[in-house]
Order: sequence, then C-alpha cells, then structure tokens
Amino acid sequence: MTAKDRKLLNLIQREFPVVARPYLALGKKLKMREEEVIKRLAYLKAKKIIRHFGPSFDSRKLKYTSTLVAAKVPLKKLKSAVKMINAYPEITHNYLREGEYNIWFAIVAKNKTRLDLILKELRNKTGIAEIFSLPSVRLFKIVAVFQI
Amino acid sequence: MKELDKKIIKILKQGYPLTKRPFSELADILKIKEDLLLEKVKGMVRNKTIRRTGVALSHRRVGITSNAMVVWNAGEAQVVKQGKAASRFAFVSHCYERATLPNWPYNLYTMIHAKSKTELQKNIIKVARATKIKNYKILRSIKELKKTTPNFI
Repeated sequence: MTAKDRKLLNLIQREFPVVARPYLALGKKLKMREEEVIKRLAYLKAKKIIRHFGPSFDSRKLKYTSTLVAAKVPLKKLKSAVKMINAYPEITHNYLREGEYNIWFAIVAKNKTRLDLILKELRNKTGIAEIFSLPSVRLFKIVAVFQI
Repeated sequence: MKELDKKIIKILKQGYPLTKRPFSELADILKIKEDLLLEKVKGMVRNKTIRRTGVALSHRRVGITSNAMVVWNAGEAQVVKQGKAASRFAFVSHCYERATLPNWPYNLYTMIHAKSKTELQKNIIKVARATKIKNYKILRSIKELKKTTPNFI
C-alpha cells in the first residue's frame, strides 16, 4: 500500500461522491487520474483491504431489528456451535472473546419474530441455554471510519 | 418502502461498479435514467437511509490490529453523559447502551481500536478517565469468526 493509497482510502471511507463520475471527482482531490483511481481501488479491493465497496445502510431506517447476543459456549461445543451460528445470513458478525461470555454475535433480522426464532432455534440446536440477547437501548455512536 | 427504492438498495448493496460511470451502469440494470438514480441515492443520504456512502475497510488489514469490546457499568442516571463522553474519541467506533443480565451489570458497550496492544490499553484508560467509570471489563477478540454486511430485502 502506497502513501497515495492511504490518502485515497481515508477519503473514500468517509464519502463516495454521488455524482456521474465519482472516480474523476476523487482523482481531482488527490491529483490522480480517473483511470489510476479505478486501478488502485481494484487492487485494494482484490487485496481485501477494502472489505465492502458499497454504502452502509441504517438498518433501523429499513425497519430491520438488530441485537447483540452474548453466549457461554463450552469449549467442546465451540466448533459445532459456531458453525450453526454462522450459517444464518442474518448473523453478520461473530467473535470469540475473552471472558465467561465467550461468543458474541450480531443479528440483523427483518422483524422481531424472525430474530426471536433465530435465538430459539440456536438454543435448541446447540443445546446451550445461556444465549442472551442484549438489544440496544440507545445508540450513541456508530462510525467505523479509520484514519490510516 | 417503494418497489424502486427496494431495488436500488438491493443493487447498491452489491457495491459500486469500478467503471467510469458506476451509477449509469446500475441505472441501466434498473432500467432507469442515471440522473434519477443519482437523485434517489442523494435522497437516501439526506433521509439517512444511507448512513454513509463511503466504503468499509478491513481494519485489521490497514494495521488496526488490536481491538476490544469494552463493557462499562455506567450508572443508569449517568449513562447518557458517559456514553457521549466515550463517543468523543475517534478510536471508539461503536457506542451503545444495552440491556443488562443477571450477574452482568454492564450497560454501556464500546468498540475500541488501536494499532498495538499498548495503544489499546492506553485508549481504554482514556475512556475510563473521561467517563469516570471504574467498573468495566475488557473483552478482547481472540478470533473473528464472521464479518459480513446485512442482507437487506
């Protein structure tokens, strides 16, 4: 990754220009040619430095329901439980963490009924009772933009 | 939501084409004019259906390798003030108040990022000082098991 790539990433994380020729607009700010911008972005995408080359939507505005789930998964059940959890397209993030609650995952479902069904199914399939949903009460911040 | 809006969200979810006129390319698929698509997308930015037009990086691949979820026992009366104080730091990407559990009194959740373990520790201390919360737990991520974007519509 070059210094120019970093500048490009810092810019394009914050805003993708909603204009007819966005790569030309980005190039003007960085003194890069449109073709060069496209070429570098293709590279950064291929290298998976860019994880998602599209906008972020507000799930609440789309009337989706989301939650964070904490689970106490015994080590011997870990592999199979993770497989069952990750199989749901509605489960967008899943992390193994330090601590008594060792598995933490996020669910974004089209409604509460579906979300509750996923939780119920997971408790049944994994045989783990300690799977707790912690819906947000208040959102203070969500800005996953990193100055690099 | 209108049918066209749903289609636009669905196609944008697949990402911006890397061609000189990406919106024109998407408009062709949707069988609408490029100008209409641009207006629609701008409208979604204005009404905040689109939280951010910018793309998402893999923070691990850009050197932000130390990440932790830190949960705080914020007093019910203080939580708004403390949540706002934690949110002021650029290295805090997410900050939510959440429900508690039996034997789990933590109600403020933050995602804290850094380029090293030492920096992460320093960042956590900065948040602890700003919020004046003494009772907190650091839940370092051992492994990322899944990370995708939601499959809307």
